[in-house]
Amino acid sequence: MRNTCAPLLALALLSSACASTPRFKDQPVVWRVDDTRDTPPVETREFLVHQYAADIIVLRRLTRALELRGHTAAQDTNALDEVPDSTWFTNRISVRTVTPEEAARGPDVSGPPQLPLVVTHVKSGGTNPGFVAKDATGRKFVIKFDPMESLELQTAASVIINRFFWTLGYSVPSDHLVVFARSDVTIDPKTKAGDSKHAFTAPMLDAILAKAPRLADGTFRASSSELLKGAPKGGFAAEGVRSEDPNDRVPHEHRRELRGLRVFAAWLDHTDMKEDNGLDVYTEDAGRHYLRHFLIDFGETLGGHSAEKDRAEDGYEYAWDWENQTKAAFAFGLWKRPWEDRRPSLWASLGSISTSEFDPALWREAYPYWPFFERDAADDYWAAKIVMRFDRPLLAALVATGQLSDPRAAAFLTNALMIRRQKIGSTYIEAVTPLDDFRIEQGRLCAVDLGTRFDLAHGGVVERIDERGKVLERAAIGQDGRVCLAPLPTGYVALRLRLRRSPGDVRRPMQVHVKDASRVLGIMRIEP
Amino acid sequence: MRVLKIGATVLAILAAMTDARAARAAGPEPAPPPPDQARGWETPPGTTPEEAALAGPQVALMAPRLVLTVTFLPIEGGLRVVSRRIAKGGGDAGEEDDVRTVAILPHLSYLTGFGTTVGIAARLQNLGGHGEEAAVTAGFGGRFAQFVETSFLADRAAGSQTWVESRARYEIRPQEIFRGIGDGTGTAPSPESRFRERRLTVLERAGVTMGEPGRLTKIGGAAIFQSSSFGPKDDDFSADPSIETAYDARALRGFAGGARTVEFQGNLVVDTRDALAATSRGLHAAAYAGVVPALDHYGFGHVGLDVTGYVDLYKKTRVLVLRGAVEGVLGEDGDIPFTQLARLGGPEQLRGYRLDRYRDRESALVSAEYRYPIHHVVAGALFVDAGHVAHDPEALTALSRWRAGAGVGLRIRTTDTTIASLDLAYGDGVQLFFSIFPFDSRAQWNKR
Repeated sequence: MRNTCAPLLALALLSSACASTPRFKDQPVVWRVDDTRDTPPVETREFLVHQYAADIIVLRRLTRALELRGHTAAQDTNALDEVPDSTWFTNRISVRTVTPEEAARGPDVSGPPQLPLVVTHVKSGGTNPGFVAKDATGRKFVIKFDPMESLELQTAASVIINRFFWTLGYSVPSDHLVVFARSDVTIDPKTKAGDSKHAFTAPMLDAILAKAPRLADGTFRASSSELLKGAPKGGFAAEGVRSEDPNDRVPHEHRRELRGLRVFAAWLDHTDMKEDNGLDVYTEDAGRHYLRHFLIDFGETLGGHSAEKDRAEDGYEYAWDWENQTKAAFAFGLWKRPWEDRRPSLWASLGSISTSEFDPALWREAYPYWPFFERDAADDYWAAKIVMRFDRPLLAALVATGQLSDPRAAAFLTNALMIRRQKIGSTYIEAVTPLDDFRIEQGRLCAVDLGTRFDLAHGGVVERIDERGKVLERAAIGQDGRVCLAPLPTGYVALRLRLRRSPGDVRRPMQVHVKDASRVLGIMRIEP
Repeated sequence: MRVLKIGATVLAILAAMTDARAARAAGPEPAPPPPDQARGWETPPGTTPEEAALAGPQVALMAPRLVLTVTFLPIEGGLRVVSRRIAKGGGDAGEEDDVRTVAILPHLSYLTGFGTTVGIAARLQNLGGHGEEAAVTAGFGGRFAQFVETSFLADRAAGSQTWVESRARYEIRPQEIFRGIGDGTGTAPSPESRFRERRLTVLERAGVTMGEPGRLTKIGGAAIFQSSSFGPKDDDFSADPSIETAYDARALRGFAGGARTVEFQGNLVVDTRDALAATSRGLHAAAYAGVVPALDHYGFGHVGLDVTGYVDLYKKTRVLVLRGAVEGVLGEDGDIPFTQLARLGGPEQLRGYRLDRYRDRESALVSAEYRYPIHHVVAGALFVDAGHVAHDPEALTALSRWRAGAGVGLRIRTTDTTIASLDLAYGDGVQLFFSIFPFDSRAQWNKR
């Protein structure tokens, strides 16, 4: 029956597809962009916390609302709606297998600091104590400690999430755990106390260390973040471009890797999303100078920000959430908000990273981050399918980098991340027509249903429809998620495909553009 | 053979040409495009119907957007300066004095019937490292033509058990409210009138603090000197008549010649609250008994009890606050200045009624307030207050003559500091009270 129908379907396809206007160029898919052109030095962007807070709470919120922004698709994706390699993002687990060992190593080049340490600068900003120190090999590190009452909370998260973001594809510094005794630390005589002209003294160092918890043997456990090579130029703006940087051509709020970052942040409970947790570094590479863009400072992830700020609503509401908090004002306390049943984990070394109450769609960063406001289903899908590539052994290896002293805490965290991963997949992959990995096989377009591949759903058919939504062809999804359509005609063909998971569950259509029944030129996950 | 060789040569040349053409066709790997051209559009998607529909409103909103942007410029500029100053003075240098703070804080409040008061306070906290606090506060507007106050407070001065409170305050109140003495139920009309009061108050209190926060008891004594002079209202804010046109002001004790009193007071405070501002459970009870010796025309006694209990209804987020307060002034009517009578009305003493709406020798107040969470530092409130003033204690129990008010409120506070407060209450008309002041603007001190 199927064989009999095939020629008819091919005829129908021919009749509906030949008129397609070429949308994509007939060229290889771009997997690397050129944003490393030699650039003159740029100014350092200041992070002015009060102005930033006023903007994200009121001022910019208001002016943005008056802009009546419509939907804008991500502007830095390639023809397959993926993110090419750039100074912002490097495809790692998204395009290849990353072994647990490689992920645990992360961006590491030279390993943790070698003792002894010499304090060269006193850390300013942030809530927890710390300083900048030079190690025995001359490398410099930012040394930070846990809150007094929560040993391992931030130091573990710093390293674990550093490795996560490296594996996901972002540029991050080389972070490690380090344990040292007071006798392992001396002070460079030129070190000043903060911004004052006074020398930083041993009693001042002792005052900093007095705020840090100690291990049973009296030593200190800290996170170390190696200073990046190059000149730091401040955090990257949450919207717009750095006008003095000719390589910065895509408004940041329309960068897929920043919009999709919300899904990763939700997964890892990275609520402390703000401009000063990004860093532009002016680097030199083969005689060229350009900015590379880093994510930094992960100590308040995995529920750590909630613990530090004593915000039970962290991850559920913005620090100032006009929508939810206005609703709460008029509910007079009768509305039990989702986070009110949230309980801290059994371990002080873990924040209150939730599982049963976690809803990726409802998750909110603490400080409104504009790229997240611009995101669409394609951004979420892109990020979610990367999340789904992390399996349990990989998660366990990444969690192990935090060296949590209680193995039960590590197991709990691994399990929590697996549960949250599954929720992310169900929420975002199953929100679109999740066909991926398009190939031409014997003149037929084949794809994989990621819902089935990742065990999020099963069954269903792929429908090819015309511009009015009339079904032209149906193909059943195999048990392994694979599906192939009827043979394609030659020429430029734009196929509208949608997934019907069940009679009542029909996904929005996507487009696949094919040339001469031999090359997939591009896809549009969301039709304009 | 030669033909074969020639043929082979030709084929080789053709093959080489073909390879070269193929190589040219393939070319070197194409240079990566700029970041915004990775998509490889031949024909980029055009304007969507959504974009087209938004175009008109977007143009229409350009002007208000521009106005807002320009309006925000000085605000953002100010915030930039503040951020830079704080960043410069911040850091974790570990200096010893990092637990002491010095702050210059603005004060803004609004009270129905009086208008807006603005002020500024310089506050030094933790002076001796044990929570001591010194402040200088000044302001004007609203209830005050001017006021200035210096204060020093310590529950445990220099780490000892000594409870110390020292205040001196001078204020000119140009439009105080007077609506007669009594609960307003008499046959005589009691129109709202205004008078001026200039007042100097000096308070010195000393005592002993026992226990720790959460189970604190303070026992002490105080001397309170007060010197007031009165006159017709001298502010045009209110349309209410001046006191002498509505009442026989000369008959009011103290009005004509002013009043100077020294009150010696004994104090007992029990405080089991879990937090000073974001309180979820515990009790705060303050009892006082004082005597004013008849040194300068006036002599009377003064007693009061004010008890507030906090009941945690749900996870420290929904809290019921129950309060009861009584106050009595003892002595002959002729020995008591009219401003030293017990009063009701205002944000702390019967919301829904103007400040000092009622005054007489005895007062009683009950209040229930339900607080619920809105934000980490913002709580909503629903409240109902009821109170009564009377000449005799027995008359206070006449419940039919009690006055009630109810309303809604907002409290912005950290764990131990109330930053701002808003109450909208209905009783004798609608009354609004709003205050931004990082001190407790409703301290018992201000009541009298």
